[in-house]
Amino acid sequence: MTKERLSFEKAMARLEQIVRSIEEGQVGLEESIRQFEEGMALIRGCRAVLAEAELKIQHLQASGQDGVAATGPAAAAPPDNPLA
Amino acid sequence: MPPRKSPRRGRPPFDPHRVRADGPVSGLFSTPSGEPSLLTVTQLSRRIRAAVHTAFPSEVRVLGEISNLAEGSSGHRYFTLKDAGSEVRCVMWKSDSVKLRFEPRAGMELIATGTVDVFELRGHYQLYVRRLEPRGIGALELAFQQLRERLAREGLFDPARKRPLPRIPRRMAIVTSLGGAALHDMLQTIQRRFPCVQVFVFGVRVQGEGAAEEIADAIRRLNHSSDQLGGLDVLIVGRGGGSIEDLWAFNEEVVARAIHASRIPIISAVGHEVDFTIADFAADVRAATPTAAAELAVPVRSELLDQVAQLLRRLALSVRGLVQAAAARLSAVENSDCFRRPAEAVRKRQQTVDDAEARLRLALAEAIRRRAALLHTLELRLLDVRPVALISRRRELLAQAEHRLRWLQGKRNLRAERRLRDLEARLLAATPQHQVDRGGILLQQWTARLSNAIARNMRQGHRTLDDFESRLAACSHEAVLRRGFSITRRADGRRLLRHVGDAGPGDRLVTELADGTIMSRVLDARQGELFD
Repeated sequence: MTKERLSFEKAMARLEQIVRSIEEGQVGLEESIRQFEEGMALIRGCRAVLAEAELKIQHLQASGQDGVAATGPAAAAPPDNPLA
Repeated sequence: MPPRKSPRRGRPPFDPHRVRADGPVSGLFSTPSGEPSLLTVTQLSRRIRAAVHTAFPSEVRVLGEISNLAEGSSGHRYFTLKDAGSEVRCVMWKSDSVKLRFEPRAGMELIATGTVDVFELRGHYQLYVRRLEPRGIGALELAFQQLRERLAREGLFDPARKRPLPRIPRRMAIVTSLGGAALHDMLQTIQRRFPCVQVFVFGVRVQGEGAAEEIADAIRRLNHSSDQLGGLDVLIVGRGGGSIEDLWAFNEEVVARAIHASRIPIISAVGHEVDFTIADFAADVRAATPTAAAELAVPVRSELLDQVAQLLRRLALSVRGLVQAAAARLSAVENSDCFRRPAEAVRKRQQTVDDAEARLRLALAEAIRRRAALLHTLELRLLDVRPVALISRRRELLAQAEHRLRWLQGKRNLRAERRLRDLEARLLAATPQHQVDRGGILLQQWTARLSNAIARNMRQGHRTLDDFESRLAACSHEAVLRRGFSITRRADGRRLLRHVGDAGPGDRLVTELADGTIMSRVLDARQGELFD
């Protein structure tokens, strides 16, 4: 997958930023509401990641000159989540 | 009576020169006189060799200090093992020396295991070393130390280049053996702590021939395929406990270099708490056990959930606070005078307006007055600069100027006249006539002075001459002549006659007296006495 992914760590950091920004109250009301919504989306995403209760294990072996290939069944597809 | 040796019957007397040099040698025999038998060098060497084999039928272990290390082009290694009392030459065949884990260096105390034999060609004994190990510590320990020092010098273990582990990995890989307890422990730990991560397991052999290469290759492949797998955040490389030989693969250089070259951070988890391998030094973080490695790699889910919950609480609180503040402001506005008693607000404003109007009027009147005054001033100034006024003023200026000019001119004429007169006088004073007259006078004066000077000089000259004359006269011989002396010369010469010998009889002489000369002829000349 080549799309830009927001790492869990970065999501947590952004959340912290949003919360601080609203707490300090420097931002206008409209902007605060918007940030609040963004924060809620991030929280939902993090929660979804942390909700995975089943560890996904995939075995690999050497393949070709430099690569790897799966042995056994392919791992479960990653969830539809910006924090994939 | 001394016993007599019985002569040998039927045998010729013993002749040492007739003994065959290459004959079979069975036991020692000596001549009747008791001397040792004659051997060739080869025979001697062979005997010594046999004796050595008898004395050392199996392998020996020898402790000594190694020196004179050399390697032949064949790959066999030659060295000397020595101590204070002696030394022995050693050979280690290439097939044995490749198995050496450490590098022998001169000065090391080593235990050599091998057989003793004689190198017949050169006639010396040698120790054929099959195995070499350091004294005190094991060969493996020494190899470990040597490699660690070498790699440390290269900077492979430099703390500055160690990468930080990601706090919350999403994808990770484990390089270990598939059957071992280590893998099981790690997966269990991860499942317990943080099942939200995807784990790739790359099985390798962790001991034995080629294991090190497999481990290094796995690390390399995982690095290469990281993007393809979605981006690996961390690797764990390790195995369960074992002896130093079991763990040896993780002390190999190839593994250390693979770990150093890895772009993905690596946690090493080799053996137990006390085991330290080269891989541990090279890794970004060392875990004491496989379980510890898993704990280092992943965070605890419940803690993260708490953090998220906390953030949510703060978010909700802060927004609520915001809304409350806005509501309060609204309420404040609602309760203000403006809303409650609107008429009052209007009346207050009306008063302000009236007040403003009054002030405006005053200001306006004042402004008008000021401008009127300004206008008047300007009017006066304007009158001043009417063309008529200007003209008459100019005329007046002109008249003044004219007057001044005349006066100046007058003054100038006077001055000019004066100058002219002055110049005239000076010119007259400077006429040539004047100068001529003056010249004439000067000439007369100089002429007079010249004559005087000449006359003076003449007088002076005369005086000088007179003086010379009298002085000369004083020296002249005429005074002497007047006293009666005379001067005689030879007629044919001019020189004075001073000596008797200057003239001989018959010579003509000229004698000068005070008042003339006398010519005479010599009759006789005699020295010293007067003629009578």
